[in-house]
Amino acid sequence: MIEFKNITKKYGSFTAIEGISFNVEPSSIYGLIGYNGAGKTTLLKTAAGIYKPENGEVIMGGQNTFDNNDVRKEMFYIPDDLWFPLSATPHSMANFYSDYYPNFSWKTFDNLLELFGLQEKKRIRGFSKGMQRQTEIILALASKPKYLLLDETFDGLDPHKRDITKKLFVEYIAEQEASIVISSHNLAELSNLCDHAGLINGKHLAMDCSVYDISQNYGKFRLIFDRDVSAEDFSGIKYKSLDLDGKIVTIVFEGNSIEEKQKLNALRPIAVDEYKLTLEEVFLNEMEDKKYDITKIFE
Amino acid sequence: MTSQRFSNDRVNLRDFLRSLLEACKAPIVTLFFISFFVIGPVVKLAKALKQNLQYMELLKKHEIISYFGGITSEGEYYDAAPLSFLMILCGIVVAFSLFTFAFKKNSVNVYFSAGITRTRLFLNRIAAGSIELFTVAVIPFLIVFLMNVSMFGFHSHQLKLFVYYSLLAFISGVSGFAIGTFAATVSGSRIEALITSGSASVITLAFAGLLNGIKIAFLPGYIGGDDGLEKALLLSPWTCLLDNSGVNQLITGKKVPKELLLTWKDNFFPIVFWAIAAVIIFTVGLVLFKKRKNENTASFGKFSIASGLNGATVLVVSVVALTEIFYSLYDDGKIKSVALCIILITVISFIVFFVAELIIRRNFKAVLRILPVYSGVALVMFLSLLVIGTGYFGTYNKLPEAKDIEYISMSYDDPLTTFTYMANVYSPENYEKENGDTCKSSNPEDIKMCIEQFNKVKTEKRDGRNSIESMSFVIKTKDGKFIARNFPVYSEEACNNYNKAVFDSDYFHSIIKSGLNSSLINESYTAQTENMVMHGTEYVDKYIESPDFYDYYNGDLLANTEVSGYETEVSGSSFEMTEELKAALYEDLCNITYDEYYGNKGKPQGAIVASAYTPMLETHQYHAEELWLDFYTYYGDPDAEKVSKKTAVAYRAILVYPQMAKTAELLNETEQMPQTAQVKAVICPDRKLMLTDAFNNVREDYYVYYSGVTNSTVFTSYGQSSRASDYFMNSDEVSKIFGGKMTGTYLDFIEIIYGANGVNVTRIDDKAKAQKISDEAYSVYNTYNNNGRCIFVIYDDGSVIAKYLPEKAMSVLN
Repeated sequence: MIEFKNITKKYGSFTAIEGISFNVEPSSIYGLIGYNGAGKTTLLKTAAGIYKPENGEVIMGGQNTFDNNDVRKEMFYIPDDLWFPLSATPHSMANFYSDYYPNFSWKTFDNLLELFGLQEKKRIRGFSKGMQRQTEIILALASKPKYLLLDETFDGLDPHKRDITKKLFVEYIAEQEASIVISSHNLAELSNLCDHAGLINGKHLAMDCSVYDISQNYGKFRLIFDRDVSAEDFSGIKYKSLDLDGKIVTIVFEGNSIEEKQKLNALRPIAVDEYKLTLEEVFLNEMEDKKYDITKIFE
Repeated sequence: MTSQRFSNDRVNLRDFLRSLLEACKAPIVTLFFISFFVIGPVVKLAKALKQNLQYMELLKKHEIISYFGGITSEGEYYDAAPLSFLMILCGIVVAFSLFTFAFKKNSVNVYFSAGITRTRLFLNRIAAGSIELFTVAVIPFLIVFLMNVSMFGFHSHQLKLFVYYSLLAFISGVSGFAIGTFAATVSGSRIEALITSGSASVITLAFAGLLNGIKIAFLPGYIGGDDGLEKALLLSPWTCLLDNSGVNQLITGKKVPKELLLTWKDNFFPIVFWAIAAVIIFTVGLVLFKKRKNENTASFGKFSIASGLNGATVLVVSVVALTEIFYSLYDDGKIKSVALCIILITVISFIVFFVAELIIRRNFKAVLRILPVYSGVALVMFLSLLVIGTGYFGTYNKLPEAKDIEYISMSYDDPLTTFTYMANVYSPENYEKENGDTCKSSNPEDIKMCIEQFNKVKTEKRDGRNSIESMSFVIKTKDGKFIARNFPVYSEEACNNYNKAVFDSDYFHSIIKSGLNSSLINESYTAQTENMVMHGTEYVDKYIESPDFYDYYNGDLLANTEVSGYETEVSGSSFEMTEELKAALYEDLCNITYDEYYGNKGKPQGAIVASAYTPMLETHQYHAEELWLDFYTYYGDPDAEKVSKKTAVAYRAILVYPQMAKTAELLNETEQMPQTAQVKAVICPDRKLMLTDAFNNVREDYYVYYSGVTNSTVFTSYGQSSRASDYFMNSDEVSKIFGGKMTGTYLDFIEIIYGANGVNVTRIDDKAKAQKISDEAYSVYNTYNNNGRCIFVIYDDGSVIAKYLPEKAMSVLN
């Protein structure tokens, strides 16, 4: 299990993340979401022991991860910004990682190379971005870590490789009882990969729940009226968001309040359709603090 | 399953081996260079020996040969500076290679999250770098050692040389490695690490130089060169280890001469010092590496230690530079107030510091935030300068009561350098050791005179003038403290009054006696140069001479002596200094007045000169085409050494004037006193320029030989090695060797040298006028601030004497 305990990380006087706590269970994948610069990478690097937190600690298998040899050889961090020496090949990199990861499996490495169709002795610098990303994923999985920290790992992968990678991760956690923390902007992908998701907003963890719970926690309704309606008609209702388009209204509630539904019905719409919110919609709803009127930008 | 312990060991071992590979390029290149320069000559020597067995036998017979192939004309000291320099540089490059991962964000991600702790990551790299540097340091010298053993047989001295040079090379490399590692640990980028390495290397030197420079510039009487600077030199490998030259001879016999022994202080102490320093730096580096804030990677100015160090270096270096500039302006009289200098230095250096900080941190707010620090440092700096500038508010130069003084010693401005060893105050701590009991006085009258002169010269006002001379004092108090001061004197009057007071004192008379008895021999060092053995202390030169070790000079040779001060390679008439002559000289010198001796307008009847002539030690030249250089010199002739030890003297020249009746009488009795000659003519240059200075300006082009009174051909090289006069008595040879232009007589020489400087010389043959000019001129040069003329008086016996015609008497030329 990975335990994030009250993590605070500052860059000089600037606080990047503050008081973040959550757990990642064995055989589970935790999705970390948040807008650009929210602190996802900072949190992952702190978990990997690259950064030392000003406060709090990250515990893996009962041990603090910072500068801990025993934990680190069970943990692998795939950063957003990959590093390969100038003349590195998949083989030489495998050699490199096998030096630091005692459980490194050459068999797994060979199998994965074959699966992704990469050549062992080719220079990685000549690979495309997606192929470099695949190489790193192969190296990470061949290192057989118990804890995988993945930062924007799906970036640059084609849909086919993305699909393979997802399946691999699922297979891997089942096989190794591993815990994975993954940050991504591709929320659609996270929604069908992760068990849990956490949303970092304003330095803090704004939301931490299972992906299933996320859709249960929100209610989205599409109402059709036989008349034009305005926002004033909905003033007695506690909604998360309201989108008016003449006689068609889209409204999102937090939670699953029967009372709110009854209030909607009291407005006598012609039709009421109920939907489940996608992870992306949840993310956008949570981030709706700042609203921009884009139409005025180019005036 | 693999055990945890085994896994960790394996990870560490693999990381260590990887580190060895990562940093091997620079050591391989360095090994190549060192091998080329160190082993190469030995291989060539071995080849030459193989082809010439006779040469080999000769080398073995001479017992002392060179450790590095015996093909150096640079004397017996091997200049280890390039070796140390190369190794320090190699160490820094190795450090940067090993810690290059710390400068890039993506590599930091990998190394700092991989299955190895920061401690092991650091220690593996230190071990890998150290092993590589050790290998580079040992291999070439081991090969040289083995080759020497195979050629000349084993001797323990060879082993010591091997250990010494290997250690010097290794520790030089490690010191660079330590500094590079420290810089890499506290820096965000390669360029910042490079700058930080530089700062870490120079900050201590700059700081010590700053304190010393400020004291020299603004503390009245401060003698400079204090121990603080010497200690600071230890703190940078660039100065500590680069100066550490060893002795490169090896011995095929049994007993190693003292001068070839390696010493703890000169050879091993700097090595041990930096070995310990490197361990401390590595330890500090490890602590900082463990705390390293990787979020500042690939940045410049975000690591506080590097920024602080670099900022402090900029501040200190700028203050050093500004102190130099303002002291120069003050010295030239362009700025008359020390206080103004101090204020300007403080203000300008802080502007420089602020701008540097802005560049380093690239954040105005961050720089502003440390304004309180600036203010604090500025205040401390200003107060320090104020305290120094006021002579510690007047306390620095306040002397104790006469009753509390144990002894005094004073300098004496002697243009003829008659007695050269007085009051050398540069190292007060070693004063007693260096001077014994001879150059000091406990006489209450002398102490009173010293206090009086001290208080006079310390209050000498500059008034925009250049100093004429500096007067030095060493005063030891009864409670064991030393007061050593050196005050510039700006007026001719003050200079004369000081000299007169010293000249007439018992203190000076006792020094004359000591000098005449040549009892100042101090074997504190023995320097052996290529063809001369010189014994003495750092400040008291004592020349080794032939058994006839006094030369009596007259005529044109005396002129030569006067012009150049102590240019005495040429031989006068050798004679023995008897006890009677010493007694006569002592009595005469005690009775003659300062004005008579130094202001005498007459012609001295002669000069007794301690010659710098050195008996040539046996020198052998071998032609070995296989070798890089074509001659080979060795030393150690026991007969020559015996001679040299009994013949040292402590003075250079004593002029004999007609007033020195006792001496003159004695010289007449022994028929050594030359006849008094009449003035025949005068040569006068059209502007003030000493012949020595004129010659120095064009010395690259001119060497001179001329016919002396005995009509023997004499060659003088004017400051060149005295070997020239011994080797080359033939003008063709001289021409061939030096490729210089020849002059004919001494008078030709004067004309040519002045002409080469664009100075016209006029010869006045009117005997009456020439006599008048000579009467108005002093027989010795002085550095008084007047625009007189350096003239040459020609006597009817053929002698030529250099004199100085002061500005106020120049009307006689018309």
